Amino acid sequence: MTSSELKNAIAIFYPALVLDRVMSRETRATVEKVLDVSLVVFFILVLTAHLSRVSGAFLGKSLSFVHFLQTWQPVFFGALLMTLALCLVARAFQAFYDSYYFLGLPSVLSEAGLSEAKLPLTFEAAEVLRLGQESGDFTGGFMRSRLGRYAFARLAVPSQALSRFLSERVHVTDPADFTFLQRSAAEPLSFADVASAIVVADAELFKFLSLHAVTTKDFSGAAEWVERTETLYRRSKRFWGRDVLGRIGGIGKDWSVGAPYSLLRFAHDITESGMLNQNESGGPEEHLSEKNALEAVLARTGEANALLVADEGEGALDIVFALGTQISRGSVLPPLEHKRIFLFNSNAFIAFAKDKATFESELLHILDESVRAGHIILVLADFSGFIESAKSLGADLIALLDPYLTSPDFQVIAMANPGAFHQELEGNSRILHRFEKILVKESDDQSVMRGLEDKALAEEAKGRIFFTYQSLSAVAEGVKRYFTEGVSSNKAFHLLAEIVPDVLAKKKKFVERSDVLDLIEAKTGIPTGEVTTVERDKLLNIETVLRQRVIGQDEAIGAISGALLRARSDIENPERPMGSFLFLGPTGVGKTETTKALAANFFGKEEAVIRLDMSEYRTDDALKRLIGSFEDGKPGVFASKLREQPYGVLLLDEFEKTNKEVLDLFLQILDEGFFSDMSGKRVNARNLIIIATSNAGSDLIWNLMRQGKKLSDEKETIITEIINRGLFKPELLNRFDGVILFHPLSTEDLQKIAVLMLKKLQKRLAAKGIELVVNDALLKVVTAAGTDPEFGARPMNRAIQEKVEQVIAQKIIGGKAPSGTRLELTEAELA
Amino acid sequence: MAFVHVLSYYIIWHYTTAWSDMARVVRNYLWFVSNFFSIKLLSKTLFSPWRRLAVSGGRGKEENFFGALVINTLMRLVGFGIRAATIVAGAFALFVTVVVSLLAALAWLVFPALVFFLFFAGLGYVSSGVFSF
Repeated sequence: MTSSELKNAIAIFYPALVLDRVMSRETRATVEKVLDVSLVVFFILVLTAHLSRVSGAFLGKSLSFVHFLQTWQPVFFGALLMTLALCLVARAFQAFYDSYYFLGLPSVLSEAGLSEAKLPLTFEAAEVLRLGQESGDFTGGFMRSRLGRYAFARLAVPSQALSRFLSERVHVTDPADFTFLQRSAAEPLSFADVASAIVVADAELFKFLSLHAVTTKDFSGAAEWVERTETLYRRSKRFWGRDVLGRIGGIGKDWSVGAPYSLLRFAHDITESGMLNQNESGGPEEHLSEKNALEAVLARTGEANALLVADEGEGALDIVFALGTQISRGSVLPPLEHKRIFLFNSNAFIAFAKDKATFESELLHILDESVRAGHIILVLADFSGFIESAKSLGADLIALLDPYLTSPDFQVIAMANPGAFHQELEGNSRILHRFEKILVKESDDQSVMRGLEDKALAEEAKGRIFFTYQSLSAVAEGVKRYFTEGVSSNKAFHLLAEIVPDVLAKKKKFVERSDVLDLIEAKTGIPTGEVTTVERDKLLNIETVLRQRVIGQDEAIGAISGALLRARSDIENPERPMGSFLFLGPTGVGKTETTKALAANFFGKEEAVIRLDMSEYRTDDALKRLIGSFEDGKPGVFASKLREQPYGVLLLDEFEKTNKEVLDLFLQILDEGFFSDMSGKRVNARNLIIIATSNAGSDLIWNLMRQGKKLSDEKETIITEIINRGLFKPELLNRFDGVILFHPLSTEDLQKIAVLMLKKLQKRLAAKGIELVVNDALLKVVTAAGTDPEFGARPMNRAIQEKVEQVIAQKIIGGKAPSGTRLELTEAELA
Repeated sequence: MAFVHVLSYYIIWHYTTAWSDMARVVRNYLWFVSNFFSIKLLSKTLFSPWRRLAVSGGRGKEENFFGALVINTLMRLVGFGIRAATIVAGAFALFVTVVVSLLAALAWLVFPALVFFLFFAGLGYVSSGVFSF
């Protein structure tokens, strides 16, 4: 928008904005209230005076009071008229204000000339922009405005900090530097758009926000939330609008339909319950397309039944509730007007029926009655479960229902989860014929966030608590990262509900990001909170620590440390594992050792390694053993291990030896950070560092080393060769965060390893009170016996066992090394 | 200065936009009243039996034919009676809404004069009352 366009756009709301400046909305409300009260008081005074005059009603009372009333009556009457005049003026000005205030207000039930007016910007945007335009300072205008301050409160930025920022700013950004753009051409410029534009143009504000740990995304997100809250408020204020009037139910709506007495024993009418009070915005914005699809299916003539296929908790019922709300408001397609939605309690019905005869006769009775009533949409929430229960009684539910499903006077909304749908319903042609299938998609991030915002407002309405925007985004992100099982919106709402008592117990009113992270940590055992000092030191030093333990593999260690830092600083993608690496190299060069060192240092203990020897999983049943088998109901090794320990290092030894199916499983895990077990439940792998090791291409590495080439330069050649040999597919290799080459160890490296290993022995002996001196002779023997370039450092262990430990053992048993001895071995002894 | 501004905006609004706003409000209330009394729905189903209560004579029950006929006619009559009464009440409510709206429109037209009159008449009463002491 150019500045003149902006000026013209704001001018639409100008009359209301100027009135706000002359007298603020709050003051006007107070004045109106005072006038109203005075009007009532004067009216009562005039009335009592009149009554006392004509009827002598106050004869028994003191004469002076009656006298006072009667003498002052004209004054009261005059005051009444004057107050009335002022009241009318105040009301007229309020109407004048509202005329602009409600312009462009989005509404559910359309009203001519209100919502269809295409405005270039919203009232909220105009309100902040005018302040900026007048002062030539958009940032200041935003921060001083009512909604701006509210947005900053949502972002947990204290108001003192705002005033300090405004007074200590180095310079005010030139108004010409701001570019205000609508998100899409069809929508008006919103308050959130203004917020984003301001933070883009004003570098100083950006810095200020970063200082308070507010990201640009948080900033515009909070602004959007604030504006939505304001819109809902505006809509509720408009009592003469159809949205409000339409909620008042009428009379005679069910006079032409039957009363379903026997149905009412097992079902209740949900048309007007549920979402009505919870969701002011006219139904859930999530699943809007599914709701419209449901409406369209039900509005058809004949066989208009719907089958909603949704994950448990994905809100299939919410969709139905939303449709009910629409019906009760009358904003529904004409064929559905005056219909009633009944939620059937199939469990209660089965419990009541007990045997086949009762089940069938009672069900037919209910169905007959429903058809006769003519306006019933029956909701069967767990359709496949109901079919199963009926089967256990010996009845065929589908066959019983079938004739009724074609009736134009009776409709069914059945619900099933995808698993049950594919297993039991999809194969049944009768069901497919009678029902129109509607797949409910998982809600996207934005609608989860909106749902959270609505829920947060509802929690706040109960009092005592205030949610910051960051706490909500922490809920949304946390759910994605730490709880993969189930449906994200549902889990997010549960988490939000859990936070409230948690925060109140801490005697706090503000829900902050850290509160959410603490709760997640308490629930999962995975550290989520801000990086603590101890951990920070650990993280920054991890490269050094790992290098002390793993000799000669600096490239590998550098890559891993980098990935860890990214993971803990929250900049990596939360929908993937924390890190994933493929370690390539010959045996005994430190691949497994690196993994263990990592577990010990980052996750606190070496046991944080989940180790799978992939050479055990090369047979055809490998996948079944890993994720479980549906047929025999056995859980999988991998799935169970991950459920027990979702946080740590996953070590996949000899990765190339497993079969293709298993490799495909990991293709998905590396990409999305979860997999589904045999029963279709999700298993979270997002809090793992996945390390796969492989000997593939070791011979190549050897050859290159012999030719004296640098390994890091030849990485491409090696990877291409591995792909050519068909060991790994390129798409699998590409999904690892890094393919790390471990090169064979040099003699110096091996010597260093010998020292490390001897030190370990030294420690063990020290526990027995024997002090072992590591001298040149010892080192020489161990290195000489333990160096076999083909097997890296592996023979070293054996060398120590055979050459050193044996000699010491003989000494201990021979009584030559009692506790307290200083043991120094000579070359002769070791030979 | 700003107040003069507002006043000028107000006066223009009072005799232009306000009319369409008022028309919209009146339409909303008419819509609401007709919806509340279900006038359209009830007119469509004026002669339907009350709450679909009906008995079927049916085949093989010829001896019941007249009984069924009587009951069904009765149900339709009951339905007609109640519905017709509601529709009449609704029509009356609509009429009242229209009359009130017309009066309001008239008052709106002379609003400035009305306010002046009320205010100064009131002032007159107050001053006469005070001066009579």
